[in-house]
Amino acid sequence: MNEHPPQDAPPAAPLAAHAAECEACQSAPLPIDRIAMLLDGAEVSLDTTVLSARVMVRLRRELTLAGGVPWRAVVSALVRALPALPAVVACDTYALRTAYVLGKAILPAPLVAYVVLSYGALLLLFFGLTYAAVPVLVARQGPTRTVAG
Amino acid sequence: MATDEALIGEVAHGDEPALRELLRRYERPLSHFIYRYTAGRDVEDLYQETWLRAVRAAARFEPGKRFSTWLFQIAVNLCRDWRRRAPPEASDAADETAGADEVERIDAGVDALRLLARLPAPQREVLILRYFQDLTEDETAAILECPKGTVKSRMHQALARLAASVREER
Repeated sequence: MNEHPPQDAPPAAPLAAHAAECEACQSAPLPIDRIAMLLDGAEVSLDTTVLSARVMVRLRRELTLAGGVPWRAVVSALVRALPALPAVVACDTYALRTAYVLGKAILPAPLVAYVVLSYGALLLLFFGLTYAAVPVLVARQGPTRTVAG
Repeated sequence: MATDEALIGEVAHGDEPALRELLRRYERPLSHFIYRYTAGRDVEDLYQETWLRAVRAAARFEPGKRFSTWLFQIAVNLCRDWRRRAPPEASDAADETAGADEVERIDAGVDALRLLARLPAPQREVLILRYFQDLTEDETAAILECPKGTVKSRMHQALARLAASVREER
């Protein structure tokens, strides 16, 4: 069946071959032609191409899981995301320092330091979560290459 | 042309073109097998589930085994499970908007499907695989995991039942 998967055209040959071999059929012959005619009426009304297309959508996710983590795509996404990190950190550091200086003018220094450091820690957490999400998002997206056919 | 076994190996590594090719090769025989087994009910669900299980188990596919046998074994097992769950009433596939000739043609098809559906499952499986899928007795026995002699006897029982139906029609 490798080169020729089972085709759907129903030949009467299997019935004839069975009747020729089967001892029970030979002792009490069956109306093979009539049975073949009857079976040939079992038509299938199914658009297999549409069916496969729908199934393929569902299978894509399974395929990604079957293929494991696409490390190349993960590394590529991280490499593209990392250059922006120093600029973002520099901007935030500047903003936090400015907030500390301004805050110190109207509030006690320890309180301002507490607020600014808490906010800084929160920002660090968000950055960590954002970059940790990259592999997850890449894995959920599935194979990135285009597929012919 | 890559063999089915090579393609399922690629599928195990997440190769989408390989899966597309396997779908293309087997969409017709597999979906038609399910359609005839279930008389046209829940075909899409069973077809999808068969491929889902095949993809999930692709990494465990034994290289010495034939892919077609393995795939049809999955489908047969799913159809058997479906049969235990499904309500007994067969669906009417006749299109209400079709013309008289068309309705007659569809009715004939539906009757044939209903006759198939009335056969006991083991006989129906053998008949569909041997007659419609044109598989050999050895291949059928491998899919159903039973001796060749059992395939022969089930085939005879199925034909005898159908012959009785033919006689009733007269």
